[in-house]
Amino acid sequence: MDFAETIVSSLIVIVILILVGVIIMNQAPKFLFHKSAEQQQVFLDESYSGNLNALLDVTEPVSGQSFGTLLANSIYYHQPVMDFERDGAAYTINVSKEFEELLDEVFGEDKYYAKVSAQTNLSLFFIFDGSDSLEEERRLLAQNLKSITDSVQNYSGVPISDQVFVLSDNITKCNLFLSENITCAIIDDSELYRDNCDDSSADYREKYCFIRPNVTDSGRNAIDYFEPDWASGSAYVASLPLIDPSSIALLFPVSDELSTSSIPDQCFKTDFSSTPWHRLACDVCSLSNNSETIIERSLSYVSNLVDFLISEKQNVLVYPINAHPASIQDCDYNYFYGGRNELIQYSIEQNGGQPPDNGRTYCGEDVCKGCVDYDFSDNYVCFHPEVGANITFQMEFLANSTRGDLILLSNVDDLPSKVNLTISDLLAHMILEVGQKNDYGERIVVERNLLLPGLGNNYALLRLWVYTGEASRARLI
Amino acid sequence: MFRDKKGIYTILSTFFFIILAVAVVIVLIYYGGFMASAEKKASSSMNVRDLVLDAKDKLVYCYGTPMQNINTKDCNVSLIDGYTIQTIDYGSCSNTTLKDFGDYADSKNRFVFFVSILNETDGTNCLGKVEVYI
Repeated sequence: MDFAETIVSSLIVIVILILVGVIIMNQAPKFLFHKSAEQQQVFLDESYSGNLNALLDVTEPVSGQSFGTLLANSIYYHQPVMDFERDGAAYTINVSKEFEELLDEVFGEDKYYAKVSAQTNLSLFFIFDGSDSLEEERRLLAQNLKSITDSVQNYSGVPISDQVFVLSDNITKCNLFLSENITCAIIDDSELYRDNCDDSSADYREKYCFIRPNVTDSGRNAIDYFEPDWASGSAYVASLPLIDPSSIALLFPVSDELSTSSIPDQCFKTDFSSTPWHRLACDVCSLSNNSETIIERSLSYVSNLVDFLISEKQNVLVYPINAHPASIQDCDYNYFYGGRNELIQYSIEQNGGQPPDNGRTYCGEDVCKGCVDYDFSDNYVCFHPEVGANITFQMEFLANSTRGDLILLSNVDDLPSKVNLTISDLLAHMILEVGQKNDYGERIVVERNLLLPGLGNNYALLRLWVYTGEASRARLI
Repeated sequence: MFRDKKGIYTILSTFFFIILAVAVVIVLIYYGGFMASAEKKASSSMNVRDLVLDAKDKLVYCYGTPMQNINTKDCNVSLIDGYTIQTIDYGSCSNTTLKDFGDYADSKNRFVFFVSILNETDGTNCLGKVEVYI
């Protein structure tokens, strides 16, 4: 028994010793490994961080900007390829490509992935011309706006808010939107205009001269000029406190007329009820108001808007939607037939499809021609032939000045898809990616905030992944 | 007779357990020595990384950010064998070695860092490379 007890107790002691030894042997290398790995991590973090700082400080030779500033500008202006002028010559910088070349030099080809993206919210504001001719556009947008913003938000991850404004004094014009739970408000002339210009005023309407159109002796209602005044409406919306300086705001003014109307004031003076074709002739044949043409007046409001936005609202981009009917472009302006001091309506349909023998127009001006409304209905409105092109020109001027884009709406059904595409395209251009993304690769992550230009504290986030395989470490060692 | 076998068993078992205990102790000593050596090696490489980072910080402090007056100034950093500083070909800068300091022909390790270097001709910043030998 003593012998057996000795053996068993000895065995127990030995087993315990072995177990303790095994546990210690396991812990020691783990501890050593962790400590070494931590040190390695700190070393690589500091090294790669310093390397990225050096890269962002490099001066890009054409623009003269540091590379960090150039990246931020590329994101802010959503232009991966930027144009510069230097010493009278024009240059193009492919920011994405140059960034990639520098990263290849510093971190090695295929050893990294970099993404620069604007860190901002997006707000959408639609400013509708309140006239009845745009009711279909309003209805389509009301039905589709939620799905547009949801799909873009889900895809991009960027928070998007939206609001609609209608230029009108009739709140029922918002009903379409309110029934879809879309925030909507009307804007009338008391909000759009002031009576005087004063460039030292704190009120933007006085400072940038959004005053009531100078209409005298007119049988015209105020609504005739403020309803289509998409320039003043856009300025009003841009001035609202709800536009957060730290977010990017997209304005979508929607209209089919020149700002402040495509119909000259004198055409509103006369009662054309018994001779509607005279009104039609006035609409199509006249451009001049008392002191300026309707084109000049519209351009002055658009220019005031551009000045306001460039000076004080640099986070606002404008995407005008031109809903001017394409059918009017096809109007055959040759077929008004002028008699003695009165217009005679000429029905092509009733004359076998043939134009009149005398293609004279009522107005003396060379550019003034008539257009045919086949059913000669009063509901048909026709504008001077120069109006359409000037709407496009002025909207394009506004878009280009504010880093936006013009949306031509030749088919009203295209409105939802065009808006969706515009927003998606903008967001895509506000992201820059280079390198190979490998979600499963071991990596060191370095991040930097790049300050975006303009007012407000908008940042672009630069996130750099540097893969830490053996081949990668060879870059440092 | 049983008593005789019992005595032999005792001797044999005692001998066996002594041998076993000695073997266990030898293994533990050997493993301890191995771990000490491994730890020493790891500490050495950790120290090297610390020294290299320290050297780089001292060079940046000495030459500034962006680095300048490289040609006219020698920054002596202890505990490393030597270093070089060169600009990289980009923009108005070319591949040029601005500083080659120390005797590093027999160095075992070379570490590379990127820095910004002032181009004193036009005031722009070049991309530069610092190699530290230890």
